[in-house]
Amino acid sequence: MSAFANPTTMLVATFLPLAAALVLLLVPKENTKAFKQGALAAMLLSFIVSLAFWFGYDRTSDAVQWTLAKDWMPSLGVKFSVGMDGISLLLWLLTTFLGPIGALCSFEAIEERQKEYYIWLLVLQTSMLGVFIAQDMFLFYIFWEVMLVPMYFLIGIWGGPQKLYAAIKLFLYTLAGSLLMLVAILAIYFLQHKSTGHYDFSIAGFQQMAPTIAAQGKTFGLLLALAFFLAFAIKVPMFPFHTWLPDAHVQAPTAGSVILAGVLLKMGTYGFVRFLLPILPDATRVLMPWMLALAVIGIIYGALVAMVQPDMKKLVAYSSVSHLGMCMLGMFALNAYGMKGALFQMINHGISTPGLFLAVAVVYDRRHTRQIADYGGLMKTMPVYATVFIIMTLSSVGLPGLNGFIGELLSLWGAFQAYPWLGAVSTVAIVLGAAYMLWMVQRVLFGEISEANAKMPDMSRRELATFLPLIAAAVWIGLYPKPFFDVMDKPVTKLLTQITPGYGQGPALEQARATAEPAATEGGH
Amino acid sequence: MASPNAVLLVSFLLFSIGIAGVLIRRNALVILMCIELMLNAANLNFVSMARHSGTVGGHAIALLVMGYAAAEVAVGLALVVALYRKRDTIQVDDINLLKG
Amino acid sequence: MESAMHAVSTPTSLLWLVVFLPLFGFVINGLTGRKLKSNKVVDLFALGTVGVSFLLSCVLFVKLAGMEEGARSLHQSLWTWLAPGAAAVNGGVSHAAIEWAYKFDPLSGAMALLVTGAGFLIHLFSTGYMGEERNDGRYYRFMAYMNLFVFSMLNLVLGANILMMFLGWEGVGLCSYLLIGFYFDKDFAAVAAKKAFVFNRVGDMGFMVGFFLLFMVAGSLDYDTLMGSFHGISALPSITLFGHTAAPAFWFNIIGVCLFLGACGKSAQIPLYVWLPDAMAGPTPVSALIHAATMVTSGLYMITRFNFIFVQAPVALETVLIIGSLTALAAASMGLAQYDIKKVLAYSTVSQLGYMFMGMGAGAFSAGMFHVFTHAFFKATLFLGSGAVIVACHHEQDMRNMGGLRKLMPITFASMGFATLAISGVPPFSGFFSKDEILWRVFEQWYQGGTHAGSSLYLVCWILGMLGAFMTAFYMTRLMVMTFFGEYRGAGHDPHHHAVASEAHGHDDHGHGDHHDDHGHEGHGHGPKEVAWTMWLPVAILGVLAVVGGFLNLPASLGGSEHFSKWLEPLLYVQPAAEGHASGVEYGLMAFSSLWALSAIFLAWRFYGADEAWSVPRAFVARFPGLYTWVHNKYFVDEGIDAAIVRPAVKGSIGLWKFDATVVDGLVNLTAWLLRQLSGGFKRLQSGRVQNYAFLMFLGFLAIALWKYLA
Repeated sequence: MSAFANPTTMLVATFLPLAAALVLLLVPKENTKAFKQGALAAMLLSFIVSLAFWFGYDRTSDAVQWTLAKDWMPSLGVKFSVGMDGISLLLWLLTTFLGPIGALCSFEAIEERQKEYYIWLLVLQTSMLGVFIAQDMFLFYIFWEVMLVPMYFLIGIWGGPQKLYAAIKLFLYTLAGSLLMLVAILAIYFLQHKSTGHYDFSIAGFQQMAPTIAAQGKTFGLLLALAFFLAFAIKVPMFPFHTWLPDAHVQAPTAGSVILAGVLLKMGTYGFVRFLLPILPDATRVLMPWMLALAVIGIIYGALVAMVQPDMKKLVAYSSVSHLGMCMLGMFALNAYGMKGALFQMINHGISTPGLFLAVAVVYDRRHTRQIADYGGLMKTMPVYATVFIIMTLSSVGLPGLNGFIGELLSLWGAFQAYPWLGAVSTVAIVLGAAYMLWMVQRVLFGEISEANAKMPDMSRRELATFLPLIAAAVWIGLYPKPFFDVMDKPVTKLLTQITPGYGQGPALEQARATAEPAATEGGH
Repeated sequence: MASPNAVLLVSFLLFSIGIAGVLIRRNALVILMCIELMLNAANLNFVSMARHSGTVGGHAIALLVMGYAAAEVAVGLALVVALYRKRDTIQVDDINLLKG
Repeated sequence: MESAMHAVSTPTSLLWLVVFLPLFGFVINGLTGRKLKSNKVVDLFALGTVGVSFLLSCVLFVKLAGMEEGARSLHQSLWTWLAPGAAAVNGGVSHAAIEWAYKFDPLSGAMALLVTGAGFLIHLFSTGYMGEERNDGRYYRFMAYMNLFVFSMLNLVLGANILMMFLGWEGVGLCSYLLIGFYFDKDFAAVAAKKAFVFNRVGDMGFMVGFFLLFMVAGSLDYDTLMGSFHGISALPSITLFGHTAAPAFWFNIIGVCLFLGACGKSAQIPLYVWLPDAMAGPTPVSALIHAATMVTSGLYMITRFNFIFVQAPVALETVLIIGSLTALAAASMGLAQYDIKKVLAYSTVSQLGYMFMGMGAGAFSAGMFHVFTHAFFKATLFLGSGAVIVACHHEQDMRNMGGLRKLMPITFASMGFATLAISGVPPFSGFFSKDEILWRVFEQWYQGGTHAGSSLYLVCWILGMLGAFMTAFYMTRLMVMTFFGEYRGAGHDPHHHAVASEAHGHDDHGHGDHHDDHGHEGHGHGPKEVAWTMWLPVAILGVLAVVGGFLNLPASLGGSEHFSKWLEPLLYVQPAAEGHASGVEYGLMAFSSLWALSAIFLAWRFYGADEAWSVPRAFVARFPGLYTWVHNKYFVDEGIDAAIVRPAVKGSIGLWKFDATVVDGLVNLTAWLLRQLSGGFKRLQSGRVQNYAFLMFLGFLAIALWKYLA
């Protein structure tokens, strides 16, 4: 298995969707079945290939693995350089995992212009996968921006009534941030040239620039950090840069929402972890309290606004703001608990929120309304659906034994270790989360059933098939997250050492106690 | 032999007439003719300067430009004719399909 | 040295089965139940798994009893659950990982016996009680939830670290949610379910913060490690955390209060008790198992488990004492003014839980735990008995429409009668020994062996407790009299009365009318009769336990050997009470509280039994209508919370949403609008006329030429 995990297969898994898209271009557009099956097959195949990397990952090393670097534009120092460490691996796998689900959930919902739809979906998949394997800033930036195009079309063509507004807002808002990031990237690039004499875009090289940047003075580092911050904070999205998200989610087709919530938002958090934190550790430490404050505001604000949403999708969208606030809270605690919590929170949010969007889509496809008030009592006629819905809800509210708990707990725990008051205040999220999610469950699934809802058929096998992998993953992570801890352990330690030199060093508790104890007893005699 | 200054003055006048025509007139045919004027003003410059400096480069370029001008007129006139057939006008103001 | 660092635990291999068997029941019934033709198969899995789990617990318990007293602990670690890595804590860097592990020691073992034993009986009861659901396809769901509950509860009590407890803690909350909302098509049930979950989560906030801080202090969440390192930590001169240096007691106080907040949520104490009365919207077996015998006592279990913290946290203990006493009294008073038989029992449960906390607040952890057990016996009896009554009366819950059931349901009557005597504290029934012990320990704290040296706080709490005890005996007798004595006032006999009753009920009596409509009416003409054996047998067994349970912990002053306290002693970090401590004061108090209970019973009998017209209570209500309404509606605490927190929160959230749409998003759109305006100016340059462009080009050319010429 581990021999199968090599740079070539990694590229195969990444570019397989794109290749499938190119092949599908040649198929006449009347042949709708070919697009559905082709897209699903490509996504599935990509997922199966990617599984090899889960098994083949060397958990004892903190290095970037399966690296491959080919000269691309030598004069500029641009390389086609790929590879993954544990952090990218997890998100990369999450993306391949969500791909087939995104394709499968579109089969009946998308009726117009199917050819283009599936092609865009496949292109989107490759561009997202590319972001996580890129080890070269230039390559990374290309994938990062290319990703916007298919998403723009997915929302702009197959979206709801206000699709153009939402699509353009998504595009311009995130692009505005990205361009600032480009400026910051170029600043570091030229600074690197100035100090080392050669041009290099490699991410590892950028990460080694930390002392050089620090030597330029505080303001310079802070400005760079702010540019990165804006790009990523918009993508996450952090309060107050979140307003594109509800619009985009509400207007997007289901698969769009699934991918948007599942993967696209993780780009922002991934960016923080990969660039801002290791490249600008000093600025990170300066920003830390502000980021934590924004995170806490986002957690509570998102939850409160979610509570009063009449539209199910909007509710889930605002819950994303809250959940990702939790992720940022853990990340900027800058300790092992928080960082691992943040990584879990990324994965978990990528499982439970797509699940909730799928759940909304199931009833939307039947009744073409997303208003909570239009539903009620569905548990009576749709027991399977209700069960699935409740499981996804519980996963989202962080019930122990399901995935959401791990991320939420560790994020809060990490934040508490850094700033006890912030950590304590943030625990209010577990109350608010339960309040808004269960209130929705109560209004949608419980209560008397109305005539309009009484005839709705329960989930089909295809619909159930989109949920089963999510549920399986949720239970797995909830009960036995050890393998995930193993994968992220070394890279997180490395990252924390990059931010705070000597992190986690010090007398281990057991030894400290053991040496303190005899001294105390001797003193007593 | 007239001094280069006199020739330059003439060519400047010719060029000015040409550019004024291009900027002011709305008739596509007249605009084409004014472009010819501008080209010929340039030609005049080339020829006189070549003669003044005693090299042949200027003459050669003048010939080249005449070739270009012929090609340009051929394409331009063809466009104007096609336009006239399609839109029944050769006023440039009326041709604004591409304007947003 | 090592043995001092870690408490001893013997590895064992069967422990996981105790916990996971009910989960298998849940999974099998949950996945296949809908397709199974026969409910008998559902019964087999549901009862079988819990039954075997009970037997296994018994085996382990016997094994435990055979071990050396100080080393009674069985331990099984299944896998590593969380491995979060390094954390800087008090005294060094902790690399603690959280195991998915179970620990069977005197405390958790006893609780496991209670959970599986009572769980089995109540499952058995449910096979009869849920007779209607057996036929309409909902039955498997009920049984699956019940099994899931047993699984979660076993995780809560048997877990070997705080996170395992938290796992069970939230799990039972979920099951409670699902089971309260079992009749999901009824709005009140759906609302009550959500309310229970959310209120529990408010407590969980405290719980979480509590164990976060505990981790910072102790560097571990594992019970064995905590108990091992506890003495060392509490002996430290000071602990510095987050730049604040204070004595260990300071930190322990915060931890204790936070953990107690969690206990308040789960065990329905002031101010988080309001969910429990509403939780009666669930089927009666649920009320018996979850909301009386097991889940609501988790708070007590937690405090006993962490008694090593609480003994070092005087402020936290006092908080427990005060809240417990207040709850005991307040809830008992609310029980006086209810007509719904289940509501009376619900308030009674809240009140009894208050007593348990009171005991723990006075440092008498084993007394509090003992009351957990006796209460489980008699309250489960009462709930199941009331369930039998409700079934017999065709799902009538209003006591005004009952009466005279004594002759018709003799077994149920006898069991409930004994249980009532037990809860009222009449010797020699179980409640007397447990409740009296608690009250005595509180009193003793004030009295302290002849000198009135203790804080007068204890005296005040003791008085509150005694008042509550009087009310308890009173409302329980009232319940028995209204239900079993006099004439049957049920449906068909006096429809007018029924209507009046419903009206007087107020808004919160949702439990009343539980699937009134879909219930078979075949029995209406006949009146109630005794229920099937599956229902009376569990009631009878629990009733017997309620009678004799007290002898498990017969106080030394009465010649007993205090088995229960001795059993728990190795886990408790308090000084064991001195032997032969009995004084005249103790005997006097025993006699006094017995008389006290009997007089309450007598008074209730006079008001409700001897006087068919209930003229005194009616006159009282007529005289003080405001007071009655106030008490009946739980002192309007629900309304207060609604007005002070819920409605402002919703209103505020709507405001925030508006803010989000107008200000936050408005700024984004404003930026876009400004850019658009700006581009509007430049747009004019883009006239679309080639000649304009050419002219500009020409001007530019001229400018450059001029510039070059001048230069």
